[in-house]
Amino acid sequence: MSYLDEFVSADAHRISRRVFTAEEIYRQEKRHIFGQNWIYLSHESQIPNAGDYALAYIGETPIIVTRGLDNQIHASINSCTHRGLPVARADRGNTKRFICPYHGWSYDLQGNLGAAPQERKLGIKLDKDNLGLKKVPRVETYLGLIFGCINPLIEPLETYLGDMRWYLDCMFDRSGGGAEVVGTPHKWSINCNWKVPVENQLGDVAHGPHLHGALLKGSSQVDEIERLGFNIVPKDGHGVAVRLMPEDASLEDKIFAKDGLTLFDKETIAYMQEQHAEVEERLGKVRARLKPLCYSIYPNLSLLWGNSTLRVSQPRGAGKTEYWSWWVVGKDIPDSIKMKLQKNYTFFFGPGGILEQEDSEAWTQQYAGNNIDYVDDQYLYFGLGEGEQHKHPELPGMAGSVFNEHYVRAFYKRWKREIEDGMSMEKLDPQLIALKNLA
Amino acid sequence: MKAVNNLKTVHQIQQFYYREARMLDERQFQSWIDLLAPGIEYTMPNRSNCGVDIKLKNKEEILNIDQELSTGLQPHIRDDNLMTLTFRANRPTSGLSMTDNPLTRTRRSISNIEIYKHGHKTFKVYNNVNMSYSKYEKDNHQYNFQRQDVLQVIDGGLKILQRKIIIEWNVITAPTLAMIL
Repeated sequence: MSYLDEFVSADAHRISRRVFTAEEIYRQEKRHIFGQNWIYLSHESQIPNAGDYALAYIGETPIIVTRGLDNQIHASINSCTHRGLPVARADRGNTKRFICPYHGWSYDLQGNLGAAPQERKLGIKLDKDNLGLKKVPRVETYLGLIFGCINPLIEPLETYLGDMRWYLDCMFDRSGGGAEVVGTPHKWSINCNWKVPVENQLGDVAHGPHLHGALLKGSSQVDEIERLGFNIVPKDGHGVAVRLMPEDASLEDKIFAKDGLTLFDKETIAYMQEQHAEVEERLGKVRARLKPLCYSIYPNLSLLWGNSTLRVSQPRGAGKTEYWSWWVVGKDIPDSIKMKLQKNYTFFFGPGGILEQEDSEAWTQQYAGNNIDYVDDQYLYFGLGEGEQHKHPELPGMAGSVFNEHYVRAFYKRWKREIEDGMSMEKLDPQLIALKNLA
Repeated sequence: MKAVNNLKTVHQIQQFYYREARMLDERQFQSWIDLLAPGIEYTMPNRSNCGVDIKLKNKEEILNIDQELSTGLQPHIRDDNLMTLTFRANRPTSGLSMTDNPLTRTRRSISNIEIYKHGHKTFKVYNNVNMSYSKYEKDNHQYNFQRQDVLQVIDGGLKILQRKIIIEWNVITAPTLAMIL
């Protein structure tokens, strides 16, 4: 018997509504999920120059990500060591130092305390080595994607991503210039649990023609994904839905941007066809006919490939999420085509997106439907497609049909294990027990 | 910019906005499409949480709104043309739109209408919109935004040639900005 058996069954077929609504579970998630895993912070293209910074979060904790004068990437907790105010307050910028507005304490780009104006007035020497911003102990990047982790002992990022890298390359290593993330994020508040948007983009292909029926019912793209698609679990907790085009498919059917508003755009299609030889050279023959749809990386980063959007589900309580969403695009692509690709993001997704409005509302309704009484003995059903997943000869990870919910079962099994392990560790730790007794 | 002082023109443009607001509140979205010029550019920039540029200190420019708004390759929240607006207008009548079933209830008030001469047969019009939005039983929200429009006279009638919507939110706390605003 483990702590969470009454919330997630051993096979993860049955999950309690409380997993999405209980504040006590959310408190455990902040400690054992957000405090223990690699969390996406920013993309290198957002801070290209020395002195650039961008704001991010690990769970609810505000983080400053900077490019130092040493040209290295640093991440610190955005809270002054004197009275705790955030010292960086705009979405992005370029600076030499962060100055706390309250008493003027200033910190350099690595988070070290530079000056406290009161030091001179008092004629004292502060112990500056111990009064810097708290550093995020581990910061690593993969193809420009910057992740940070509060746990200094975490495995290297590349191991953590595992075979997910093979799929991420399809967006971030498609051409020599890589990908860039442009502009400040679109942010909006959703009354739902943070795991729900992640789940959706781990591989929930099945909701498309129903929730988005007004636009997608009977569409050729839904037909393509249902015929040629797989839900892949490259590593437990991560997921990706892909279309693997047949070897004899036409070049036009294999390229990027044969989706959405650019489906029939001659300029875009011609450009992508020209580029496809380079894609095949970089990614190989299998990935040259791979068209991903959606990705999630444990615990809270997602990507929509065809719609060129990277998003983070920021938790703000058991029933509140702040969704941050960016546009990401191949850096080498000419601006005129970039602008056309951008509409595949803004028309469909983001706070003004014709599909996203339906997702946001469904996720809000999911919270409303779960935050109720008298049904604790009746679990939500996550068992679709059990046992049907298999190894695929060409695609790394476990592959199931697009209706197989193995991606979400793998996610919740990992989630359950991490919370249980974390709680067990704390139970065994006398220091932590002493702290708890104090509180 | 030269203000329009002809009271008949001012009256016609005010009436145009009140009629448009009622049309949208009465959900006549497909009729609303007829108010658009064929080359309509309909945008809503993203509004960042923006620091000031200290090099501009003591100048009013330091507080300029444009520096907060997405520009160039930076993605707007909305970037529509006649085709995409037509998709949006037709969606609620499909019977398959879950965000329009049950129906969404809105009430728009239009104020602060300022009218300037723009170019040949076009007017630049600033106006503010206050909209109450209600969904399900009690999901009630208040929207407030500015519209910077260019209206064009086509065949004796007014059509919207440009609409740029300026919002105050950085984190959007309303349910969606995907509807016709």
